[in-house]
Amino acid sequence: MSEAAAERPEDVLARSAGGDPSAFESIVREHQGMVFSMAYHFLRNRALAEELAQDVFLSLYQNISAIKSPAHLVHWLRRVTSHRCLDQARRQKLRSHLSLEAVQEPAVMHAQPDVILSRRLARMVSSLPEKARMVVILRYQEDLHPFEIAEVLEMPINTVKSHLRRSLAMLREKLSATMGERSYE
Amino acid sequence: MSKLDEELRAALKREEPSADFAYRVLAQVRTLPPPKPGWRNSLLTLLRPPKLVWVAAGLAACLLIALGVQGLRGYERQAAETQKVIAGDARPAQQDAAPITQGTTAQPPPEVAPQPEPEMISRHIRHHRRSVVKEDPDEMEARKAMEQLELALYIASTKLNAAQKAVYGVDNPEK
Repeated sequence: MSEAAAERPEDVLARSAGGDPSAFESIVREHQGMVFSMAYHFLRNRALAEELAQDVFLSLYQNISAIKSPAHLVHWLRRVTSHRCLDQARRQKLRSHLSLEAVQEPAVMHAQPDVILSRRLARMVSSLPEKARMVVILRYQEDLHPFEIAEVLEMPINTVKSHLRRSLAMLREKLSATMGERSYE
Repeated sequence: MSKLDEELRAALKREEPSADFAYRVLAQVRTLPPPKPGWRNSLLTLLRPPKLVWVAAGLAACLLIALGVQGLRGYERQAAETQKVIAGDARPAQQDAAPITQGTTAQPPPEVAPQPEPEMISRHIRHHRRSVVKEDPDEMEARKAMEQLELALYIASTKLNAAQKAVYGVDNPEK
């Protein structure tokens, strides 16, 4: 275990706020997976996702003094990444390039490995409307409770629940049609 | 948990960016100006060891100055009060002594022993006040009472002296 990893997260944060680059590096390394994955699952483009994640960390560097605790740091990263993803989607109109209907429906796949299913499901998620997509990513990638998602996305909890319900219904229907007899109820 | 939930968790599991991602971020960070420390961090920085000594010394100096100013004000207030008391006591004494001497104007003025000047009294009191500064409040109060008593005795003796001279003048008119 490295010295930085053995250090308490509060101390790493304090050192980083004091302008220590090695402390900031350890913060980047610790949270890069979360930030990149959120962006990647949302945008379905590695290069764009890396660019967006990089922007998020640069923004973090400039605002590091406003971060009060490690928990606040995670919340801040999730919130900023979500909003950047939504902005990016609005700019690029990703939905026009890839809609749920545009996702290819291959013939019934009875004995396909789960990797293929996961890829297909991820593509289906990326075709959901922007806000619903981000709700699903936060729910299933970050394992957040709906009220936490509501805080991150700054929306009412009932809206979050409604996005989740509708998204799952759409995905279930699509998957049932695609995967034949496999049940997703 | 439904099957779809499991599938979604598997599909949306975390992935790592390319290996040089952190290096690229840090390379960009180096081109940026250092972040401005917030007030909270500035405060925390002051409480870390190298600066803590200076902060403590500064606080101690401020405390000493505040105590000094407070003490000086207290001393000045005390001195002003003493001055008022002296002024209040000395005025009626002079007024009281005057009619006795004026009442004997018909008589040849008796030979009165030279009275100590008010300047001498104030010098005497100033001498006492100087010693009062170093004493504690009880001693200061006792000293103040003693000064008042001395002043009262002085006034009484002045009056008695004047009365005696007047009486002596009446009894021995040839003198």
